[in-house]
Amino acid sequence: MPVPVYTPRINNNDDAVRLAAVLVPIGTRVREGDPIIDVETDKATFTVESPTDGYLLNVGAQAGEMVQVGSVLAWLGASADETIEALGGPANGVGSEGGSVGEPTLKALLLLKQYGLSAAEVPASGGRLSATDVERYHRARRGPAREHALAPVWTAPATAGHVEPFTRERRGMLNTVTWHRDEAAPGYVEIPYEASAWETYADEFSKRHRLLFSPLLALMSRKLSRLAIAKPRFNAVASPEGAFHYDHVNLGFTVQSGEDLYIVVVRNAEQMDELDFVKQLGELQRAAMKRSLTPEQTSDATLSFSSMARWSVSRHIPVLPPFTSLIVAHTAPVNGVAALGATYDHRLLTGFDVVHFLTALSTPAPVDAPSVESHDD
Amino acid sequence: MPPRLNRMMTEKDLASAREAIRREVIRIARQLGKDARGLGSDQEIPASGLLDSAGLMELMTWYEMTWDLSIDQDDFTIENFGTIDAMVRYLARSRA
Repeated sequence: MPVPVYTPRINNNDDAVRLAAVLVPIGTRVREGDPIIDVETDKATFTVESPTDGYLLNVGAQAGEMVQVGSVLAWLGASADETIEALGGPANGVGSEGGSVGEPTLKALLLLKQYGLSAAEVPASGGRLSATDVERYHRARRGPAREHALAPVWTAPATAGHVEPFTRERRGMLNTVTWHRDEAAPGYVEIPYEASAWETYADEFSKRHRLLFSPLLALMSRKLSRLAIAKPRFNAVASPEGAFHYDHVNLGFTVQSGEDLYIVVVRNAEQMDELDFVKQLGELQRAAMKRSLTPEQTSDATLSFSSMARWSVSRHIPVLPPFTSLIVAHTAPVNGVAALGATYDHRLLTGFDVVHFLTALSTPAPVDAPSVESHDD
Repeated sequence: MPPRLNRMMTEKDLASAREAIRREVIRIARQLGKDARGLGSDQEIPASGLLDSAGLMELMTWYEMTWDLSIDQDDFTIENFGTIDAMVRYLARSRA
């Protein structure tokens, strides 16, 4: 009976590890405690030891590939030619290219097990169900992959110095910038608009609800989420198979707290009326200032809003947060006229699309989208 | 730093709190390039233009942490926190 070797957790924050090296060839006899595979994260390397005496039958990934923590990393057998039936599929010899039509390859079987899928639900592109078929099906179900390198391999310079480790916030910014650099094809456009309509609207809203904090940016962000419902292409991200449209709007909003920059996320923003949205965003902003945000409150934005108006900035070009195609840039008005800009992923959107979108956002006029209950009704 | 009190505040405590709030308003306003030294205790801060929305949030975060309060989002109204005097009154009520 083959014995699985599971992928270890190295760091509390990493749900996947990179397979660095397979230390013994497939088919090699190993003893309990022998090092067989090296795995690593950006912070640490770990050598996986054989849990028992046996033969290394299979390793489910190639060097350099990411592997989910807890998934089967490798299989050991009592003999070098033992088949792996424990996965629920037909037995295949390791490295066998045989098999009947529709039958999963060994690597496909491992992936099916890893992703909790059955062979019957995954369409095969060729004679046999391949690992590529499973990966493609899995990606389409869950959306684009969330793992990517934070930074290129770096070698310390010869000049003396030391590394100051990134804080959580700085690491988040590095992650965002790296995604923007590697995964998107960013463009930027902006339009001028009269700021008075939004200012008047926000002022009246504030007086009506006796709010302490100006709701201007929250109301503009809330309209952004409504526009995204009316125009789903803006609430999407490019994937190898096509535009991946998110089911909900998770509105990202940048908050500067001291020297740290956060993107707080109002989840399911499209379901909130204006007052609920204003309050929800206010709570997140205050949590950012108290440094008490949870990971869920800073992750999974589907589109975003950023303002630098408080520093009298008249133009800024924000970086696209990961797995989004649009971030709106709000600026300070000069003589009553402000700029509304947007960085967008040109793989999904054109400048023409974004200009029309920004034009709609530049006034507080209601959006023709599925309505929600209002406190004012 | 004003004292953290878990008892009813005296007039002296409240005067100390008023001055502490004023200093914090002036500090945050200075970050935004504004001079708040002339702000009256009964003058509405949002209407003064000295602090923007994020500045007010920074002020209220400091207020909560300084006096160990946890304020409900619905309580952030002009009546409760629109002026320095209103903030002092809220503090006194929270310690009553």
